[in-house]
Amino acid sequence: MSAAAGAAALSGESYLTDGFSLRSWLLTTDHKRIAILYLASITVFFFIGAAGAALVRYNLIVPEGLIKSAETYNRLFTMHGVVMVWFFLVPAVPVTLGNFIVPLMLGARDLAFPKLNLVSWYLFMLGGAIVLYSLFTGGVDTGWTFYTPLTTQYSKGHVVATVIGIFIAGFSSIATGLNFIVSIHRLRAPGMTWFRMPVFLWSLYATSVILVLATPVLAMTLVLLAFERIFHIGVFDPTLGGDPLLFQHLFWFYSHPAVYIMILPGFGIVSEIVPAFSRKPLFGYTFVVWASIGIAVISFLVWGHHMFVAGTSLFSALVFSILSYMVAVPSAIKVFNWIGTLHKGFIRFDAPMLYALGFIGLFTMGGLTGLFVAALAADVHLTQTYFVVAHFHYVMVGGMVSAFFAGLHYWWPKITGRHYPEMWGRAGALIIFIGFHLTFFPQFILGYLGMPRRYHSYAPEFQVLNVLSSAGTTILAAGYLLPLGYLTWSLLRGERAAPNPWDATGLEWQTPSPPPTENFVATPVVTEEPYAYPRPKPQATS
Amino acid sequence: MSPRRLLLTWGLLLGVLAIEVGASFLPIGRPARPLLLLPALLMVGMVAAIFMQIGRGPTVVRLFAAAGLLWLLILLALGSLDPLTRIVYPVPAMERATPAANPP
Repeated sequence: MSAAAGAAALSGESYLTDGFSLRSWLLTTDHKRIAILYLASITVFFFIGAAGAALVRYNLIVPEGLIKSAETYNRLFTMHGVVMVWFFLVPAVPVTLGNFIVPLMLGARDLAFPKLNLVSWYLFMLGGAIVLYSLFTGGVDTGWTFYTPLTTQYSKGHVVATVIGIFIAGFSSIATGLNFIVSIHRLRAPGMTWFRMPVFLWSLYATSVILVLATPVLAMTLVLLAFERIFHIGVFDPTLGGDPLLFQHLFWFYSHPAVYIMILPGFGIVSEIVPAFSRKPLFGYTFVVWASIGIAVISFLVWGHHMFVAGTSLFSALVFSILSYMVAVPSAIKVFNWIGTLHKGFIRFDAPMLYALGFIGLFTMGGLTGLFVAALAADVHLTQTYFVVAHFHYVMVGGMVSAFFAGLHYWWPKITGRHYPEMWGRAGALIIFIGFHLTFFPQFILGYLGMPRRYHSYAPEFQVLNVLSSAGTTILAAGYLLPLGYLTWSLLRGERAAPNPWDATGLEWQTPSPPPTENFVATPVVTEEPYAYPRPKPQATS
Repeated sequence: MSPRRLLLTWGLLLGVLAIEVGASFLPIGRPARPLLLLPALLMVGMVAAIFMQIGRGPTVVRLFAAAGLLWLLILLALGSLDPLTRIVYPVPAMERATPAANPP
């Protein structure tokens, strides 16, 4: 690329040393610095959301509830849901690891629209600030789903302010999605054909398509909700000619694909790590790619399974039930392909691989239990119980958060130029895996036994399992605090990282760690398939 | 495209939106209600032609625009399954429910 980039690389300068003032960070258009801004932001949101969860689990230690007011409990679980879904799970991988890695993987100087990228961060922060303000000045008691008529007629919380915050953050998502789509179309390095792209890029491409197509529906729905609450226009209120189920249709048209916005990038991360730490090409690359696209499309066809007991017609419920089973097929293809990649590989159990393996197991459990609740008859029994809570936490927390940590550890040497302490990384992965199961597996049983979710108190016979679950939360919390500690420590004391510490394929490993501001000294040229790891030699038979 | 043209188009879009909102208050019979979609269709056309420049854009841009319409069709088709096949049980006329009207 430019002579300046070459000189910078030779002198050891990087994007981290390209200006130290606050202004150089807050007005940067460098995708890597914006990724760091996002990483700091979502870390704060993660711990705020986690604090809400911790208080919820604290309350449920005893049947009558340790928090005095049921109203406060309602506001806590709403805060947990709103912050975690819209300000951590949806943006986490795309805006941090995606922002940092996508241009590097593409062999590009930056994303297609660097200024739009910075604007998206400001929109995200503005939306987040409004939501936090509303949550800390009284909060909302509606749950993160904002169902009508509770939100439009009865709730006394800051409903409008909260949905305005989410509305603004939605534009941040759309901007990020647009940026990724255009970048992947226009900025691929010479020789990088579509089917030479790493799966992480494919996953983010599929995620971006969902972001761009689904987020506007959420935005419109939230505007209608606010209009009905403020001006009493009749959209969802039947006494004004509206339909309360219309809200659920529109909300879940976004929010079910949003599940795949959260998990598809995780699929991409695992598809990078499993071949790298098995020293084998990704098994069935083409299938994995098309499975990502298939999931993106089918995810839009299944939203009605959230409404089986809401009063929708039986015919409609049957159609959505059948369609919901279809989305399991591409998800299962991915799991089988990761296992196929592991088969006869030279497997290294470094921290990224441990997190990735944890992801595969936890996501599989979350996905399979999703089939239970996609079945009409079973759902009538299980809906609104802790079974559903456990199911989506296995996918969202067990799956997505594990994948996020896997990717964070995998690319940490590239992002910071420093190694994290490997022993602590492995310990963190194991503690999170154990703590997660202890927290959420009892909830499957609680739900099956009939304990409803979102209640401040519960029947005494459920206490043992609830105490187990709350105990698990303390282990999980320790597991989440551990990476915060040792990754921060590594920024100052970590061993310096080589350009390609994992000996992995991919263009991001062909530039120094941390990369120079302009990413590459010379524009890279792609000459081979992705994941071109040497195939293992057949074992000699005696 | 000049900022002046963009602003003019945005103003026109708001004008058509105002017409649509105003028309929703008119006593229009059920058979004629689909006519209320006309302003929305006009807005879609303006966004596609002026903001998105579909006529001059490359094929991939047109494909994405078509995908938007396809997704809208999915929303309307699958979303209509429920209200079109729902059994509506008649209930006595009731006052608009408010928290204050609820029994303690």
